[in-house]
Amino acid sequence: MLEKLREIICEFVNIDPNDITENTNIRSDLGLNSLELVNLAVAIENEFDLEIPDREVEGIETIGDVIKLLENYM
Amino acid sequence: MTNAEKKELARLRHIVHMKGQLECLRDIIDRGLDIYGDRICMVEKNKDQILQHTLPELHEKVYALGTALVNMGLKGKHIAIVGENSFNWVVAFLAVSCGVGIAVPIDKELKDEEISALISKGDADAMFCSKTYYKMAKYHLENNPEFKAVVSMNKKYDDEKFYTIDGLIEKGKQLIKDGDRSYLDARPDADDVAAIVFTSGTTGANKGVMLSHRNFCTNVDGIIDTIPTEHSSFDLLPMNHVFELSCNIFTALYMNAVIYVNDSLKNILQNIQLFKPDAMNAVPLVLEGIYNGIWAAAEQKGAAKALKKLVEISNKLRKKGIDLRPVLFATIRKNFGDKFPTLVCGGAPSRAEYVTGLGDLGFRVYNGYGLTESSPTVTLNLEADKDPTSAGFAFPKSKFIIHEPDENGIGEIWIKGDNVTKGYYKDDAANAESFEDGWFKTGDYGRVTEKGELFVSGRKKTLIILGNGKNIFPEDIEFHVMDNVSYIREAVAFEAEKEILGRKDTVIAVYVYVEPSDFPGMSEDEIINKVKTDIADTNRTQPSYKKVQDVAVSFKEFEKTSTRKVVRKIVIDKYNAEKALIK
Repeated sequence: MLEKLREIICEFVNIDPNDITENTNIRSDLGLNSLELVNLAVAIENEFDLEIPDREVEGIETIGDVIKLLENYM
Repeated sequence: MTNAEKKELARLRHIVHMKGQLECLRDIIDRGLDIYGDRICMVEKNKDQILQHTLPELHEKVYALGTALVNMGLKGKHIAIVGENSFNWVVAFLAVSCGVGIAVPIDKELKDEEISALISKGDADAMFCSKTYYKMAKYHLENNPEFKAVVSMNKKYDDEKFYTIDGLIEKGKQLIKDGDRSYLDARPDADDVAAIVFTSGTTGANKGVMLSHRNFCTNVDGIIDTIPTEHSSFDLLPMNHVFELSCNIFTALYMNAVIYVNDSLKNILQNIQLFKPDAMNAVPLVLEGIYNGIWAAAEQKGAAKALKKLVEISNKLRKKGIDLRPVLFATIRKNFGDKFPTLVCGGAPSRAEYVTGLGDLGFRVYNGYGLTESSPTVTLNLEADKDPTSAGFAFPKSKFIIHEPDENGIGEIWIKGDNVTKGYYKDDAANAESFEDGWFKTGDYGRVTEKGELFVSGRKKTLIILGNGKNIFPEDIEFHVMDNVSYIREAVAFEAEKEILGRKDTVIAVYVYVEPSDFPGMSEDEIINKVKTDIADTNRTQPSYKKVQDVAVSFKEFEKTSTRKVVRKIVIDKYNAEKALIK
């Protein structure tokens, strides 16, 4: 799953995929603002064919959080 | 829209102007029904369905709901509203403020406990909420047994004290049929408070701004007198934001510009393509998103260079009075539903490059200066792409002065007018501090030209203002960090420019003082890493706009004033100097 997430994230930010770990912070490491985080969520939803409620998206802090969310909604 | 339809609309809008000034928010729906008849006023999505709401439906539902609320014993009470933007949100707000009591709209992005605390701070006896906030509503009821009712705006719950908006509307219709005129005859006075709107921040720091019917109506009338009318508008910003509520929702309803509700931030572009709105209110973050989105798409197609060239050519032609933007940038326009919506910017100052950049492509961009306290417009710049640094000229019926200008003409902006609040709810200290000789002291600094054009230069208060339009009190961040990381001795929060992966952004930074002796056996680097990890953890319990994105660590106590207050400026200057060294 992390591999797939790395691929998606690399479409949004210019980063070496190997630098992305579960501890990578969405805001301070990737520099995504709230609107970009929503766009990332849409890309993830499309890739994994699921829906993440808006209020849950706001709570995302790290890539580890995204993985946990995905596990809950898959 | 055909020419005949356009003419008809122009005729109806002429009637609006002939009706004279609005006195209370009821006039918006009463006159609307009178002038426009059964036209559509709002369109929203419900899953895959598109729901169209008409003016008669709005009118009937507001009056029926108001009647039912009075019948429940809520006359004169404060009623909170929290939920995603929707037709029912508007019905609830208007029903409450137009004859029941005072509406207390609440920021839906706050955490459940903060929402509950604001409901209490606003002395609300009941609330409207969408299904997302059901858990919060239960929590609030459990902690406030005297709370009278929760009205669900979209779902039925089998729970004591829970009602549905549809159920109440049906009840109200029946009551009116049976002769109940308690709400119909309770037209509010112009100076009655319509809403208490909270400024951003948590319960400790934020203030409840009391806005009267006259305040809102002055803003709506002012916009209608100043801004060219559009046929439809996109509702993107949260409705609890006065900028959206007053400048978009109320104004669009009164001018019968159809309001298209954006159901989720995830669907912005898709919804713009579907609804093809003529205008929208935006905060800087949205402007930036649109601008960067256009260039990223061009880059992806390998067309960025060509687009840059086209912009250059177009700008040269415009200087000669030839505007070919509609032709040159037709491909981009197609992505926005074949027309660029007019962008009305507020919430925070927009970066000049985005305003000019979007103007170059053919967007019409308006800028201005406003505050919740002035419902909200103070000045308007209708040619923002020509000079994005200008906040424009004073709004009708609103005055501003520069108080005690310095040698550069810069001083505090003081405002006065029918759009300005009478004061903060139950906050004598803030009221005493904010008003002088009938003027409201904004805390913002600026200068005015001989022609009366306002340029805003900064703030007296230490507020952090981010691109999403949220105002954050640094103290909120500082307390949160210190409460959650026990070994932090001092913390100073401020806004900072941070470059992440090659991109600059305004973020919340915090400089903290920790004592190395609290970490026996750890190196300085290890301590710094620990502090950063622990502060990142505190972000989890903060709404997205209050998350700390940069941390600096000091092993020495911060410099203090004689009254033992940290000298914020010295700390911030030190941060900036160190950042410059790293670069």
